[in-house]
Amino acid sequence: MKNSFFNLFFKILFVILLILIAAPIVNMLISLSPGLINYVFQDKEIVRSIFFTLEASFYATLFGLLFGIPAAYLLARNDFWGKGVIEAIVDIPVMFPHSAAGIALLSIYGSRFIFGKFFALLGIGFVDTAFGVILGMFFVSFSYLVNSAKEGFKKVDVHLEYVAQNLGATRFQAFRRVVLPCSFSDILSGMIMMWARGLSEFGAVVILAYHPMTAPVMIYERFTSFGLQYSKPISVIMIYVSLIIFIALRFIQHKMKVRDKGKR
Amino acid sequence: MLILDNVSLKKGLFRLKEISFSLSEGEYLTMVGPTGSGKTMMLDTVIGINRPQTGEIRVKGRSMSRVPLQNRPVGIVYQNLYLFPHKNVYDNIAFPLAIKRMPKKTIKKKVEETAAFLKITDILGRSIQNLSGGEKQRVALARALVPERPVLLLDEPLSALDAITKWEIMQELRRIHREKRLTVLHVTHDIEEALFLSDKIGVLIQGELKQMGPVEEVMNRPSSEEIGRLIRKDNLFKMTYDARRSLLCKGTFTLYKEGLKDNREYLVHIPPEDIILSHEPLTTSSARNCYKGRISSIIYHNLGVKIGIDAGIRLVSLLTQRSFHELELETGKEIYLIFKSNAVGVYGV
Repeated sequence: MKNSFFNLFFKILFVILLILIAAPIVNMLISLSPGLINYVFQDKEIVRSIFFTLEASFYATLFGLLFGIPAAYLLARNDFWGKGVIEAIVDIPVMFPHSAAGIALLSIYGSRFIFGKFFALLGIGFVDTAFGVILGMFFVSFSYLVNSAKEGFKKVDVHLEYVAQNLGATRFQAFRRVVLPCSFSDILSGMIMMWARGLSEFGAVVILAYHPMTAPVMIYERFTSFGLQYSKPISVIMIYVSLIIFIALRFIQHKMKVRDKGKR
Repeated sequence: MLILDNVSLKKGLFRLKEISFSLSEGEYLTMVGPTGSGKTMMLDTVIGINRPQTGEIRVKGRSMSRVPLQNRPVGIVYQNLYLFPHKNVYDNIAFPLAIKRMPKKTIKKKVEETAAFLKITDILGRSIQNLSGGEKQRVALARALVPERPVLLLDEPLSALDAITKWEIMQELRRIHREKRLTVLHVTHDIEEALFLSDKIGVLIQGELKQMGPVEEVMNRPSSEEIGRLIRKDNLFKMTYDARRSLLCKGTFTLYKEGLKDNREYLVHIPPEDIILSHEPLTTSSARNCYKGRISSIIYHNLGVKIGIDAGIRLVSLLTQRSFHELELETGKEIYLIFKSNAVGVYGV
């Protein structure tokens, strides 16, 4: 008797939770109509901001690959004094309030500050530029890629690398031909998570680079200037984009899991 | 061909201590040692994963000190094989050739030749995940052999295999060694592998090469009790010599033996295969040692049947399946054990 009450109580709480979470999402999803699509695609600013967001997040992910993969590999393969501190540094940007991350970035990449001045010499500015958007996205999302890749590298036995080297491969060839393919599913998951996180970033981006406008900034701008009705179409589209990425991620993870299971 | 000259290395708390030996072209050395004796560490040092702190490794007269891992003329097959899971059998074997950017035709020819040599031609297109233990072993061997290096290292290559596959691969290793004239350094904890495959046996204990020599020498004259116990697990015990009666004694158990030093302790080994069992005492036999005992255990073994007998001390006799059935042995039954004096190995302690 008690047991069935326990189950019922938990089930009720669970259903309430589902309703609370799903209702706004479903409400937005069912708002999609030919009229709304037509409205969105006629507003060039919205279309541009959506594509710009996808593109900027993609570039942020590319930077993530360039710098994050070596970092993940080193962290996975080596134990050294201070490793915990370095891992914490990699994780911290996720924990920051993102507007605080924006302030932190502005305080050093702003045109009057040290990194800002240095990059200005190379012709790169971060305040209100696409570079700033990419930097903001990169800063708050790269740890997803690093951590996922690190876990992937840990799964690859270091002796696979040694054997590859014993068979004539240089360290780089062993990494490229053996380690990368063997940890590909984790790297890919990390990339998708980083890309998706970049797409949704608002706080850091809005402080560092209000323009060019990303979709989340545009939603905010439309809402504060014109109200709910004008911010809704772009929000619906962005929720669909995120949903597609989420489904793709789950699908890829599932495929990889099946493949890895086969390997064992 | 392969020389280790005073090679020492410390890793964590473990130390490989001044390992020295040399292998001529085509020799097969099996290094035997218990788990944690430094066998794999030694192989890792030969292929270049570990750098020796002192000493030198030479292959074909050339010092390996400055030769990076990828350029050492030494192949290795590990216990875990480490086949590349994302590549199929063909691509695993082709890996060392593809890395050298050989023409595709040459790669195909060499892979097919090696696959034919190891009888795996029909599985070249299969993925690694779908192979049996023996097939995986052959693929790992093929991959190590295809670059045609003169020295092959084997790190417990048979320990994960079932008895039948192990026997097949052991025969295959012997064939590879003979036909390819390879110099082989094989490490294992299993003395049976060493006996079947090797020209020489080395005994590595706690990072120290305790003894090395031809198989017969190490098996018949272990330089210490520790080594004796490692390579001869049955019928090995310490006995004291009574010169007046020409007897080696351990409690009530005595062995006839001539010409040893009085009151001195000796390490004695009676090979299980040299102990004959009979329901009657063989008075006409030339064997001087005949004992009555009671069967305490019967254990089926891949080489026959091991019969444990309590005869004052516990002795083990190794019988063929046929002899075992003919004798109709059962635990608890009384039996006579007979062996010749010259079958008894006596080593100074």
